[in-house]
Amino acid sequence: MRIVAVCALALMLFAPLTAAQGQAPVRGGTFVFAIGSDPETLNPAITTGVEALSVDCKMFNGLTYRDREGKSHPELATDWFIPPDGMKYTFKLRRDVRWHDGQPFTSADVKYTFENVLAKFHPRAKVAFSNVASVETPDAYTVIVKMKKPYGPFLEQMTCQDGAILPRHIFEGTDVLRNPHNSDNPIGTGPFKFSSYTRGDRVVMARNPDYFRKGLPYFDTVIAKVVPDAASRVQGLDTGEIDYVQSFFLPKEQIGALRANHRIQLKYDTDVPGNYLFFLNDTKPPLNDPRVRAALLRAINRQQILQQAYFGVGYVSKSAFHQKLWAYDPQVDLTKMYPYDPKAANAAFDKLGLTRKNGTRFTFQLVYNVAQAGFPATAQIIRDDLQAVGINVTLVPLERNILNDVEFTKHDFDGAIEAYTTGGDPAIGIAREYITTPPGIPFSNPTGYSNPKVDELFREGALTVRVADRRKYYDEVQVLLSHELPLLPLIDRTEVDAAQVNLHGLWQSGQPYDEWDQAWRG
Amino acid sequence: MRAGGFLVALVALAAIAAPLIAHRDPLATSPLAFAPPLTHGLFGTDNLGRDVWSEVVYGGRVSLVVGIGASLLQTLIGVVIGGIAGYRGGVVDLALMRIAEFFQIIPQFFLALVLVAIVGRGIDKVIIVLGIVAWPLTARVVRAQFIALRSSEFVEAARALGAGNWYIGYRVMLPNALGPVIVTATQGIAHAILLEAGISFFGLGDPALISWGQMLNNAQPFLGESWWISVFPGAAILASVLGFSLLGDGLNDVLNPRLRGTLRA
Amino acid sequence: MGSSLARIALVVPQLFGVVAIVFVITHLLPGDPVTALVGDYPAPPDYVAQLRHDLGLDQSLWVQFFDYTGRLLHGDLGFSFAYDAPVVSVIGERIGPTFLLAGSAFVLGTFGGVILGTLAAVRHLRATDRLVTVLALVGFSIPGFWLSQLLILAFAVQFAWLPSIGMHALHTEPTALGAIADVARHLVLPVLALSTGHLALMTRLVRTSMIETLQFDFVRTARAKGLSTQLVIFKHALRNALIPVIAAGGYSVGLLLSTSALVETVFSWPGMGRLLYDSLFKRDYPVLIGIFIVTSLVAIFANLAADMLQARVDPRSRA
Repeated sequence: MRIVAVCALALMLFAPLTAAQGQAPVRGGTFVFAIGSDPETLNPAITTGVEALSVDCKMFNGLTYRDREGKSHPELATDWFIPPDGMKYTFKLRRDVRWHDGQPFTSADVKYTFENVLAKFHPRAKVAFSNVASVETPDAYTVIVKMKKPYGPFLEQMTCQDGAILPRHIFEGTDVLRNPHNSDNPIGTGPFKFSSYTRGDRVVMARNPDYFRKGLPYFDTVIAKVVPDAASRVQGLDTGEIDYVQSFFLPKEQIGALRANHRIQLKYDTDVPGNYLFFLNDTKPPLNDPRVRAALLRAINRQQILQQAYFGVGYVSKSAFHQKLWAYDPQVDLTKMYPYDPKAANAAFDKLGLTRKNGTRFTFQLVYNVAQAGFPATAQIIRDDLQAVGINVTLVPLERNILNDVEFTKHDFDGAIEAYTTGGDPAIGIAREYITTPPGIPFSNPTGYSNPKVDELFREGALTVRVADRRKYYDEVQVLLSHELPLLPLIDRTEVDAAQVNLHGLWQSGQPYDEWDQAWRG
Repeated sequence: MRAGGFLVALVALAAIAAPLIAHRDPLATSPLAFAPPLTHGLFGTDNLGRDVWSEVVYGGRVSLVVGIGASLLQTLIGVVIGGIAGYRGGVVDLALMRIAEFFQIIPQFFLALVLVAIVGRGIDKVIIVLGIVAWPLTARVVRAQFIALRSSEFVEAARALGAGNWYIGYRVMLPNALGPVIVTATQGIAHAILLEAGISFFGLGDPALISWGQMLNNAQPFLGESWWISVFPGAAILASVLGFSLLGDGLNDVLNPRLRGTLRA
Repeated sequence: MGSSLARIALVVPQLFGVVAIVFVITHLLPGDPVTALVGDYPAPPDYVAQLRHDLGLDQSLWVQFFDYTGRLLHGDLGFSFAYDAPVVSVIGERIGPTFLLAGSAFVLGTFGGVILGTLAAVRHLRATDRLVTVLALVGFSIPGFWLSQLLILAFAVQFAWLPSIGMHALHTEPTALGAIADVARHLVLPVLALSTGHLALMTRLVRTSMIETLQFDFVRTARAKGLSTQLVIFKHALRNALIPVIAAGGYSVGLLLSTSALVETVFSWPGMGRLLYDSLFKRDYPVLIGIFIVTSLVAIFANLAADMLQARVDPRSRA
């Protein structure tokens, strides 16, 4: 009797939970999302364009997808084996996948795409595949990738974003970049099939009835609507004409208004993060002294920058590594090591012998990209903060072209504001900021900082494959960099998407492009 | 005209006395963003916590400097070219006036934008560009005057005395043509202020300085939350332009009673 | 008529002048004219090489100039890497909305100006006249882009009566009538903002001209002849007033296009003006120069049309 009572009680306690979670997905309907301009191509394996990927990855798949913790999950691949030395990747593929035109998906498609498309044309994948020695297909559902040397992030790049798989029978023997399927009737394996594309207006996609995940997707139709004006996209959310706007297309100054809107849900941290950085010219006195750089960090009110230049979307940087990245070392916290304290900064400068002469300690040229959102505001706030501690700042807003030359080739600056993506992995996006770099390479390390220990740590981190081992190197380098401060990390960017509150099943993946097969409206 | 003079004096005074009446550095940001008027500063603060009152007052300096500078340059060029055309006549006149007409037809704002976009930002460059873009009107006015004066008694007399052409042009004719020139120059200030505001609004203003047009550009994304970032600088532009226009009209009435009605519009 | 041909012929050197200005701008600047023509985008090296070859930068400036003119005559305004399309098509897509906006403003301003100016002239020196004069002066002095922001603040933010963004609602209207009504709703605020300056100008012109004519003839003859003649005098005065209106109209087109650039930016109206702002922001020089050329051409032809119209209306105006 008591057992029955206990069971009944358990049922009563857990029933609401399951009822809420198991609110049955509703099948059918149309889902409309907004993009800012036409997708540059309907082929995701040759582009990193946000418009293109957000449209194309609904029709294509990668071997894997990554969850919000960065862990890889099966997609076109069911399983993978990587030996400890990281020199070989064995992928087992799904057997029940068909292309939209009915042809079966096999390892030949993967081999073809790896060798002839991704390695040659995809801007990010190219780097990964430059480490690949060979691709073998012992049978129709096995792919073996042999490496020239270990490359830590390789598995992470097997998603639709960096490793979408194309149909060999459509592309083989053709000029990949000029294949007509790039602009019309793309053939993929994804949950949605191509329906129509009206330039300047919309791309329409319909449910793929033969999708390899049975029962999915829920929506009948998905429409990508081209809305060039940012304010119109927000307005569309408000009127209900737009269901979803990805962070890239969401004007951040509207975040406040959106937060207050009960019909809209906001989701933070929806994409591979990036940073706003303040590069310093580490070869030029007095900036060549890490203590001076540390004092500068104390002088800058990064919280104000976050609130006013970026509307509170993001976090004040705690380390050289983005705090939402898997490799972030929680022991390192720049906000505790160097809190905003102009008085302390003043004292530090005085102690270092950089006293004020006529109110000025030294002059400072601040360069930045005049056309990048948030940069002029950031520059002005930094300028004010530095003026307050006696540094005479000249703002030099420049066009990207000229800026690249000034910053990366001539090193003709004292400080430069930049936005770098992490690429989801320190080896992809962060190492380049700190390793020894010759002049002339845009979006690399312009500080002139060169530390063999730092170089070594990043190198080892990239060559190792096991996450636990990589963490060791990355923890050590973060501690080292927190004292050296070759550049001042300002803000850890985060992405925030907006969607109608009645939508469910979104954001299954840690990246904004894949796993739309589980979305439904209820 | 008195109204015009009053407005102009107000704006000019505010601009000159800027450091006295506006205590905050207009470019100084602060954590207090979007403060409504009278809560923090007379006109409130903008999205970066800057004091709008200070911005408006210091912005006046930019507008006045550019307006007056451009007008002076425009007048200088216009007087020289118009004088030569009106005095010489003939082919020279025809050629010069064709060029002037050409500059008048090309949309001034676009030409100014293209020039500034390529030549670069900076208050000095803007003054030069605006002067170059607007000289034809002054030239026409001066030319008309010189044509009329060409056959007048003063000129006959001066020639009879053996005076050279430049002397006649500079000493004899110009002083008599000054009336309309002054009016055009005054109206030119109003016009230049409007053009400069437009150029700044398009993001081509001097990045080191605050100007009214720039403030309006800045206000654009925040109209819904903070009307004061838009209303005050805009009203300032209106006041200045109106002031100089009224002043010009009034001067016109005073200096050229005969020509009333033909110079206007 | 010979003079018509002469007028048309005069346009040629003006067109020449536009091209010359663009040519001079791109060549006399510090730096590479190819960079100016390509803009800030990482263009593929073979395109740049091709452009360099086409421009014949090692040849004399005259040769280069004629080459450049030749390209223009073929409708080749260059390539925009920001939009990944020829400049001509990028601009072509935007011309329609701009003409809709500027055209509506022109019509509204001209007719409104005639009506208001006449009203003020007839009631010269009385309250109506003073009011109209002041309003015209304010309308002439107010920056169009600020007025746009004020209208948005009043009608879209404070009272959500009218849309303030773009030309269409996001959904496509099912009926043609619905679509037209949709555009019309979006057109109201921008046209109000844009037409104000033009309206003010026209009002002042008409008022001045009518006052002069009316003062003489009206006063003198009307008393002697009676009412019907008043009407004739009135018509005569109106006809006379048209002369400066037409003359100013040609000039106004350029002014309207300039102001519409500013107004379009505030309202996100998908026209050339908005394109100008965007291409400036992106440092897309080919599009910038292309817009300059197109608007100059429109202004030149508008002036030509005004000239010819004027010749018909008033044969004695032959400057």
